[in-house]
Amino acid sequence: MKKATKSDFIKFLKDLSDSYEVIAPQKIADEGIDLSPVTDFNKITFDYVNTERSFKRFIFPQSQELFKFENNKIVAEKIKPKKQVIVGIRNCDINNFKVLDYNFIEKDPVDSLYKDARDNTIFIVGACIKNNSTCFCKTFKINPLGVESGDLSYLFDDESKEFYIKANTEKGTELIKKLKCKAASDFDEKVKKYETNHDNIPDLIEDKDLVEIFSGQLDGDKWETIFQGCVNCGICTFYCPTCYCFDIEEEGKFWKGRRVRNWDSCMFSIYSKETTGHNPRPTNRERYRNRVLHKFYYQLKHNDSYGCVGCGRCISNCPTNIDIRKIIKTFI
Amino acid sequence: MESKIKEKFKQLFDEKKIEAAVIFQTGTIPTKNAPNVIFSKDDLETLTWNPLNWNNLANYLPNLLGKKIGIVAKGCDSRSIILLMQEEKVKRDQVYIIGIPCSGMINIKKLEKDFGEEITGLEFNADKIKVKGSSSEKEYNKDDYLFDSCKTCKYPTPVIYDELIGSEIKGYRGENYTEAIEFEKKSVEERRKLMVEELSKCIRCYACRNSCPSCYCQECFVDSNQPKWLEKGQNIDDIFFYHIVRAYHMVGRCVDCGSCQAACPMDINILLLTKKLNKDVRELYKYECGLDENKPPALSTFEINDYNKFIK
Ligand code: SF4
Ligand code: SF4
Ligand code: SF4
Ligand code: SF4
Ligand code: SF4
Repeated sequence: MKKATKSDFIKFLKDLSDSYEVIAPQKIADEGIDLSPVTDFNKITFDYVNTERSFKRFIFPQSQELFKFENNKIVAEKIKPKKQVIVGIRNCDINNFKVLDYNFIEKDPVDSLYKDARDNTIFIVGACIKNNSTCFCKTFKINPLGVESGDLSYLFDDESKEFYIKANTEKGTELIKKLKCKAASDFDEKVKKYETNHDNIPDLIEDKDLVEIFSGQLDGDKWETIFQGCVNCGICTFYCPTCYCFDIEEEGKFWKGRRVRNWDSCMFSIYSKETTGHNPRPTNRERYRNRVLHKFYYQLKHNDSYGCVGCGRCISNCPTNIDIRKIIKTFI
Repeated sequence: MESKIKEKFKQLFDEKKIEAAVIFQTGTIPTKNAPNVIFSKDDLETLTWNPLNWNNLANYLPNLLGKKIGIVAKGCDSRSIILLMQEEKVKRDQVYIIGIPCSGMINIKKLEKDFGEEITGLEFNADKIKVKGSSSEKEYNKDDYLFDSCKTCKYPTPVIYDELIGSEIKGYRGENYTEAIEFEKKSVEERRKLMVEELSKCIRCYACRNSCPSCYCQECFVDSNQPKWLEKGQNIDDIFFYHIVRAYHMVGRCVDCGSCQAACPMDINILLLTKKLNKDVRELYKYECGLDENKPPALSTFEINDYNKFIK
């Protein structure tokens, strides 16, 4: 465990940029603070509750080439993953691994693109000392001050303006050696100091069993009203750190082109449309129900994990104020 | 105003004159209201009217074709209703329109950015907005935060309604095509550069398309894969293609309500394209959409003296 000043910490990241691409929170023109590859280390900021978008897109990009083909042959070599460091991830977001790893790694076949990207990335998690009113991570037993996640994790102490940093994995232990600064022993104490800051974060589910609750309400009246305002855009699923749906497409001519996979969203009508033209989820009622049930019932049943980490992004970005917290409360 | 709207809808529900109502309800966070379709008068309880109601409510009508609907309409919403009537997606006797003269909606994202921290409370007075956060409080001029579309809105008072609640607002701020004129002055390369810069932020969530009342196709060209018109990835040319074609599908059909841009999570200036096309339609065909339900849309009709210089 170490404590570093902001300049120590930035210097450490800068040194890492020799062998890694560093992705860090920065103020992006009119979009607020978001993760982005660093070109100017002075632009990194730590003054945010959470980044506009999660880090998901750096290990599972919105559009990813699988291979190129020409005349019936695959011509491109395997795309080598970048070595990258992502800094400033929040504990809610990194809990998306419970969902992503399960689907991409733990179940056969292993998704090598995802696994390679994940293996070549160093994750640095920053504990939350503030929160937004839309945060509900505690619902999923995620600790906003969680400093056990990521390869390295840190707590920025607002008072002393110091970063308390610790390693959680082998990779992290190697890395922290490069950080030139004082050792720290009062880490836990510092963490404790911020605990009450998060008293306002709700636990909406408590010890209720959602599988049981939803299995009696897979259809029915409650579903008739909650979706009405939804316009079926891709915002809530594209912003979600846990949504992992994709669609595979060929681009180009049939004798020459490339195969790519693009994010898809169960909120789109095309998502479930079959070749015959039949759509088993014809209206937003069925689509919205799928999103909710996939997050709070199907995944829970099969993977023992929620499809939500409580980051609140779908709430703050939805153009029609469909609020997933309200939906949970409607059913439990 | 809110109580008058509620009263009216309650009465319409009771008299079985409507089966559903398209309204705004108080949102779950202070910065948002929820556009919604309700089927019972009990849900009128949370009906709200304030400058956060930027969604164009006419957007919900095509899905409700055949039902008897009550709807609250701002100036732009009412023009979209006319457009949908022209295109036979809404029947006049199917909707009961409560018109609300609109003093403009505010660009809440801009306000959030300027305020700097999460907004925990908002209060609207005639021309001021009081903003509360957990550690500060500030007052802003409403005029500084109006959407561009609202600043230049020509028809703040609904052009069609069954009942008007509130007093008519006349000759508001007038038209303004400054941005479109600037755009016209640029060379093709400069225009492309500007558009690429804007559009490279696009994540193809299609919130712009889905928030627009004029976009109601059963199958949008971007979704079609037989034939496939464009690729679905993040290649800028494909993104460009989507936006250009969407804009062209709006020719003579865009009421400049600004819903598309307000819905965009990436703050992309998509209105630039539709503004430019609106200007062209006005100048070339002397037509503004959503004003007269008995007149056919600009591109659905032909008159012998129509602009035709492009036919060589
Ligand atoms: S819930 Fe909101 S963000 Fe999600 S699809 Fe519906 S309108 Fe879009
Ligand atoms: S469903 Fe919403 S709150 Fe939950 S993880 Fe996804 S974006 Fe965050
Ligand atoms: S909520 Fe929808 S888009 Fe997200 S992972 Fe589930 S099915 Fe896929
Ligand atoms: S294109 Fe945009 S501004 Fe025009 S009618 Fe549609 S939503 Fe409104
Ligand atoms: S709403 Fe914005 S990000 Fe989404 S498709 Fe439209 S322009 Fe792109």
